[in-house]
Amino acid sequence: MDKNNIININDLEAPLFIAWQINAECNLGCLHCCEEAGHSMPDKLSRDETFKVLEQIVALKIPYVAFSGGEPLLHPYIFEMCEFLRKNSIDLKIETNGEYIDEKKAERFASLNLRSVQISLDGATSVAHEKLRLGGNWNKATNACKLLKSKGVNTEIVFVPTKFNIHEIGQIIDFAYSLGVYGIYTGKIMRIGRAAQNWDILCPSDEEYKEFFTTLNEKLKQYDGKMKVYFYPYDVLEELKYRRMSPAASLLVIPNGKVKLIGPLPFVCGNLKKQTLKQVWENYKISWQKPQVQEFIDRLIKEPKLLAESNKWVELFH
Amino acid sequence: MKLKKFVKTRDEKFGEVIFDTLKEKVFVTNETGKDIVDLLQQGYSSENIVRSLSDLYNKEPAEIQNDILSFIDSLKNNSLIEV
Amino acid sequence: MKKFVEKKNMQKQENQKHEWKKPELEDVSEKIMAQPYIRFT
Repeated sequence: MDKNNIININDLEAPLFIAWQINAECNLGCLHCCEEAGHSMPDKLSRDETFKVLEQIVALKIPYVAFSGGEPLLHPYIFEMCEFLRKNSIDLKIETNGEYIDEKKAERFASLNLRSVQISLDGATSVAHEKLRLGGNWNKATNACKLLKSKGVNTEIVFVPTKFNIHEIGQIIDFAYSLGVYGIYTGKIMRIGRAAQNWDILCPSDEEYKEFFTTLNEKLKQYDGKMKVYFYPYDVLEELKYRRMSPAASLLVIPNGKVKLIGPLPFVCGNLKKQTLKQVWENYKISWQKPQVQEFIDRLIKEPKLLAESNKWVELFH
Repeated sequence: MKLKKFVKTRDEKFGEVIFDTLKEKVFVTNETGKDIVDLLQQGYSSENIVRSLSDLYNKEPAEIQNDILSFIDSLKNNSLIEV
Repeated sequence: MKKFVEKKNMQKQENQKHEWKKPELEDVSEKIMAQPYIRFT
């Protein structure tokens, strides 16, 4: 390693992180869902294919994986998948709406010694949460946090600000602290998936964001050393401008085994039904520099509405 | 001294990646840094690491001691190891 | 301790010198790790 030559993804034998959307089924219809989840995805990975991917994660020594969905707890063998990774010492995070977490599942998660379980909570009270998360139940989500905490599971909360709930940021951070969770994550709402379709009714104003970040900075100080308050101040376009120069060492796997470069872009760099994880990683490394990708990012910067196409997959390799 | 619970390492051509998955912090180190982390994981004390690496690299312990101790300090400062 | 040195010597190819380089620790999180919020689903 040369100090003047900072490591980038080309220096890595494998990804360091896999974000895996293990299913598309969801019991909720959130107005701001990035994946437009709700229905089963055709051609999803079979059980054999799923476990082959898991085996490759272990073989490539990928240290950290996150399972999300859809609602991952609706996946028929999520616990077997978790057990496989944990048995092989891969750190694991589960991102869920929490509604299916009962005492038994909380205990099961505790026994798996997970890195964390992250619950989506979009309000300090039920009103805003349930307005955004159609079919959602705030009590169930908060009970999930309490149950997980009581069983010793490292619990995190994610909050997405919209016009409906952005003013509740201070309250929800205080509430998160009262629940005893490890941390709370937030940032600007991403204009992708259903959030893009509902952008005009969801996107907070600049004024609202200004107040939001002021509160966040105050809360960051207030809870320093007590609870992790993490917020990302940039929007998705800023992130893409940065990532085109410096791609993350991570892959985003969707339920049918296709692998996306990053959530907000439509580009697919491989398919785990047909290729090995290592092959897909090698594809990923060269994908970001493809003119097709770079030109699309240029277009997005001029026309952010194009972010609505993030789930219309475009294959980069044929 | 040992790596904290959610700290994972992986060998790479340049040395090693050290990944604190709980804090989502990623560090990289070179071959000598990797050797030190390997020995820490095997339960070696700082003194034994100095002795061991002086044999391996044909160096006088005094020549490499400060490098090793300051590297261990940076692991501590970044909360990657616990005593 | 000897065991470690022997093992390392065996691991390293004969033509490769054991050259001491100051051990460095570099934080590459921002560059390498996807932001937890932006990647969230």
